[in-house]
Amino acid sequence: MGVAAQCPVCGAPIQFRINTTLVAVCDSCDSVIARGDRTVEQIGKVADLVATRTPLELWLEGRYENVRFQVVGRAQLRHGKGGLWDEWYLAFDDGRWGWLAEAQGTFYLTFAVDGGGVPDYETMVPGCTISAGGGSFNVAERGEAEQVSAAGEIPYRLVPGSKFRFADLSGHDGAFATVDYGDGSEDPTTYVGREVTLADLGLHDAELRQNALAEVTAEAVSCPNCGGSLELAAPDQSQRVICPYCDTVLDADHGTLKKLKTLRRPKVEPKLPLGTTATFDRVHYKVIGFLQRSVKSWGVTYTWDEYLLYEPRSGYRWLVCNSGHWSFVEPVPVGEIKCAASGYQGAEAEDGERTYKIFTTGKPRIDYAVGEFYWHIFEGQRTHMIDYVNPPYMLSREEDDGEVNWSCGRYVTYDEVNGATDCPVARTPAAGVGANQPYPAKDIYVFWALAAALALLATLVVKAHQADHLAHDERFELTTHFNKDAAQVVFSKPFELKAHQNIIVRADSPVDNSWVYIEADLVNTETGAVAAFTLPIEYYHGYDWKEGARSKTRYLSAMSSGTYLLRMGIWRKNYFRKSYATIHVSQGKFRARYWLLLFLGISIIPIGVAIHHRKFEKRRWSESDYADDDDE
Amino acid sequence: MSLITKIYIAVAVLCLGGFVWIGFTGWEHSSPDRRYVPAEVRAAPGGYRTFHYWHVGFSGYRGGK
Repeated sequence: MGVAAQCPVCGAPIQFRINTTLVAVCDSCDSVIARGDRTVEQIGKVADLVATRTPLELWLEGRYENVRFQVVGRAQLRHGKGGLWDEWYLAFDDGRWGWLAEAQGTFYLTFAVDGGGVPDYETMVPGCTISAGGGSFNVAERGEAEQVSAAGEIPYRLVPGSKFRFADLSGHDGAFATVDYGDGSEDPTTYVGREVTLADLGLHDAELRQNALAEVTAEAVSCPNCGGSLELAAPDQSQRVICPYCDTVLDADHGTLKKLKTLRRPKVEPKLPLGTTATFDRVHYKVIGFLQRSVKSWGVTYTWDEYLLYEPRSGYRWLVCNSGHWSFVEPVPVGEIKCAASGYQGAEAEDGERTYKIFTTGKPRIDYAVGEFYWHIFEGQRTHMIDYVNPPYMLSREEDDGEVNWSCGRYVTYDEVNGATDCPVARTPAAGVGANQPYPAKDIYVFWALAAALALLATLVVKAHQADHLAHDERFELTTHFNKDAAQVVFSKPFELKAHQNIIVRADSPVDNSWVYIEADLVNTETGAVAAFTLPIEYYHGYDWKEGARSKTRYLSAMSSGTYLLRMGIWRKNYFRKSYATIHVSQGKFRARYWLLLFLGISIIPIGVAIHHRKFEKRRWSESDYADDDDE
Repeated sequence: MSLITKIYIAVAVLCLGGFVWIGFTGWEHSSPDRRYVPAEVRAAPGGYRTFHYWHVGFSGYRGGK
């Protein structure tokens, strides 16, 4: 299997195990040997591989989507902005080559596809959307890289020291692609795939090694300027270290520190000291860096603090404190964001779960930095930043030369931060309303809706129970007499009343600019229980006015079930004329006033909260560059 | 859960409970007090029909213009 050859430089045996391998690296002299039709030739010599904390190694075997593969090659590439990344080459049993890129503990597996149709490098503007390999992607980054080192077998003509341009693309749901523009002399090659885990690749040994590497404690080094003891939490990923003792900026090359310059500046004490452990979502992060950033808007300078958190398995996170308002920030793949355009009134961004409204734009600068960072940080560094909010979340877009990054911050209270850290955090009183600060009583609306639903249900149940019905109806003839102070006393016929249902007694009499006054006793003929009440009826009118009514109704609380009668003493203005009065006794009437009181009772607090909520939102949006007229 | 929400839940439970209680007991807020016809009245000639005179007597004119 494969082809055996001899290294033309040192004579050591070289094995081309895979038929489609183009170059192999000599284990003895690090020469890159290209395979020709009949002979082999040296292309160049690579540098020694830099030791990284990779869990992968050559000749591992795995399986992806039921196809077996072997890890046969490795290259180390240097990013144009500094920093190395590993690329592993997987030879699949079905003849395909897989490119497995490893960056900051994340793996991306891609396969070469027809590269026709991808835009030119110059038009690959970060953030724009393009089609590649049948999918839609957002350009996350474009840049230049250099081939530094390699080992094993490589499926392309790797020239040591050669530079090439590339564009990284991010798609939805973990999709990933990269376009290799080479040195520009040939057509670009497009590789399309997705983010994968070692478990996805069936590399279980590597997975175990990855877990073991995550347990390795920080690497202890000394500052080359002051000799201060430094602990690098991510020595293979950190590119800059700013010594907390002497403020010297150090270039970090996989744990080897080189002095760049010493800063002269006033000290800023971070609220979270470097090395503090902060636990969020059950992950124990370590604070490895501190930044103070500021932005100037309308002549006002706004300053905030950012803490860089690191955990080997989860990677980097941020804890941001802005005027006493804290946010825990996680990176979001560029491809997960839908944002047609930005920087205008009403612009929105979507991350698949929520829609965010544009809040501010600016070019913040780094005023102060200390600790360990995964990029070439410098004081005065600026990025173009756009914040979108949907409290308690904030989506932030940061763009600098050739790269766009999205992150999502979740508002956390001071108490949450203080409880999450292993040392007490100095409290800064929260000023105003935070951009992504959630309204604290927003949950009341859910209970309001629930209470309204229950009130409607209760209404139906109560109405069904009450069953409005007429219990008695009787007419009384009112006779003539000549003593205005004398009442005519009448008794109704006995009638039945039910228990637990209110009693409604209505009296009607055809009064006209006159009155009838009834004193009534509702008497239970069995128990002797009495409810005494009055029914004054009066009705007056003139040419263009009227008052009173020809009937009067009284509501009485329910009495026990049984037989009742009404005893009535009736006085009248026109006692000297014949007249009549009718009495209607009914039960189980639904009372709208109690229903209104119920809805007032369950609504008055939420209405007050809604008014306060509106004021709260006005205060939030008064700090925005994009406040709606409604918001201000 | 915020304090105001907790207070609201308590108020809402009271309101709903009160509404259901009123609906199922037939309570009316302006209802007159209950009284009972004493046994001696019930035993007297006319029985409960005379009770009004025992506790009120003639009330006389109370309304009108």
